[in-house]
Amino acid sequence: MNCKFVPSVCSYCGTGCGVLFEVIDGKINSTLPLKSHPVNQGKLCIKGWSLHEYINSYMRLKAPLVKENGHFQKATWDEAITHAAKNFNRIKETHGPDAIGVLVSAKVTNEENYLAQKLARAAIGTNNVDHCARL
Amino acid sequence: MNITKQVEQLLKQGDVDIFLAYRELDGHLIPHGYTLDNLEDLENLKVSQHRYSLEKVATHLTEKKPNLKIGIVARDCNQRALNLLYTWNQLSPENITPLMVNCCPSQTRNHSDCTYLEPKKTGTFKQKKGIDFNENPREFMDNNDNGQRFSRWMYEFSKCIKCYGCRNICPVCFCTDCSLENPDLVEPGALPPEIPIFHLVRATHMAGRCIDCGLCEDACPAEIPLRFLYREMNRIVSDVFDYTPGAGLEKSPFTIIGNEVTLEPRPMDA
Amino acid sequence: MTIKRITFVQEMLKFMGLEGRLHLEWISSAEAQKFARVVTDFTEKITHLGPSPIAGQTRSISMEPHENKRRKHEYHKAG
Repeated sequence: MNCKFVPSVCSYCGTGCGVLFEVIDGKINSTLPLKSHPVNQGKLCIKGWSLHEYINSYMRLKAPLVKENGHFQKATWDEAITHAAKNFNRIKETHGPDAIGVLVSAKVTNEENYLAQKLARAAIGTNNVDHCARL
Repeated sequence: MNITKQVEQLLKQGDVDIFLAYRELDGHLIPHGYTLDNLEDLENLKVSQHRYSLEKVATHLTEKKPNLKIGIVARDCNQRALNLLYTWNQLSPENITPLMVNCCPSQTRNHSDCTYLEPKKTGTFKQKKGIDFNENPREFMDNNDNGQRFSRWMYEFSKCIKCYGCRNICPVCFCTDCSLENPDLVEPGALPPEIPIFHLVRATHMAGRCIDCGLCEDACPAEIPLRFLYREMNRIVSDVFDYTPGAGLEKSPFTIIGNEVTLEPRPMDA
Repeated sequence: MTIKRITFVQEMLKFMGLEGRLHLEWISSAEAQKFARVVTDFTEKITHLGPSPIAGQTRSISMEPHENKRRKHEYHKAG
């Protein structure tokens, strides 16, 4: 039996509350607020308290899905990325780059957000970038 | 003998399979389960200023492996929680080895290593409209009439964001079926919760259980004086039922779960 | 036990500022007069206290939404 606590940052919103995962035998069992964290000082909201539930949820996506004939089919990452790239190129060519918008999330890191806007501006060529934490 | 040596000895002698204490990681003092497999971690063993409910972790571990022998670094409040969990058959005293550490009121120092020794501060607006964390419940009763008490409590409760933090952090909240999640009592997905019913339901369920550790008040993002409320509940319980939760191992007068039926059904004319 | 539990709730309501709205009395089916007296007294007391300050605030009583509530619950279960 092995029990350890792993400090982390809540992935829900841009506030960045410190959380502590109770890991029993390699599986996250519950979430606690990190008391010494300067942001939340040992407090959490309901979403933070239930972080462990979505990690263990059966509804969680574990493989990329590609929609074929109205139904989602499991695909490999290579297939999915090629499919997406091909279709983005097609849209860009037929309707212009501003037909594409990029929405980023507060659930990813600053660096990933930066890369997403770089992709939008440099690779796709549009300024249609927005972010759910742009409150 | 220092605590690290004691824990090492307990683990090596096989008195405990896992020892729950704190360690320093990235500048944070966080709980950790020490076992024979990670003896090298023992040099980081600390007694944290911040208190987490290790006894709740122990119940989680026991759920997974009922005969696991667990050691716990325990303050006075942890010991009270353990006593209560023994009474309610959530943990068994044979499997738990508490190692008592310095606490309030400490015999060695006036101010010991617990953050709870520093009183919480109450702002002026809260003092005027709401309830002072450090007020004595008796004085609160004397200084405020019925209407004032009601408006002060409603001010406090109306701040609730229904995070269920008080329930989640509570070391003695172990019911598998929580009344606060019953859709007939508390409407799911609605904010604010029905005040004061939401809080009074919890307060009633804390009667005979609350061991006054103060974790709920600490975890409340809305600064509702929960400890103040449950302290008064505890006073009433001790007046009416002559029972102090967690003080010893005597049977609780409350049998909310594991109900024993005392009245046998029999014919009316018997 | 009942008397203890009711005393507890009475004390709790008193602490909340909702004093005197809960009453416990043992009345046998043979004590019609006592029943009438107790009910009259308590009704008078409640009338005197006026409507409860939390009346109308409790969602489940003031609104219709049995349907609504059930639907929400099912949704939560599914999710």
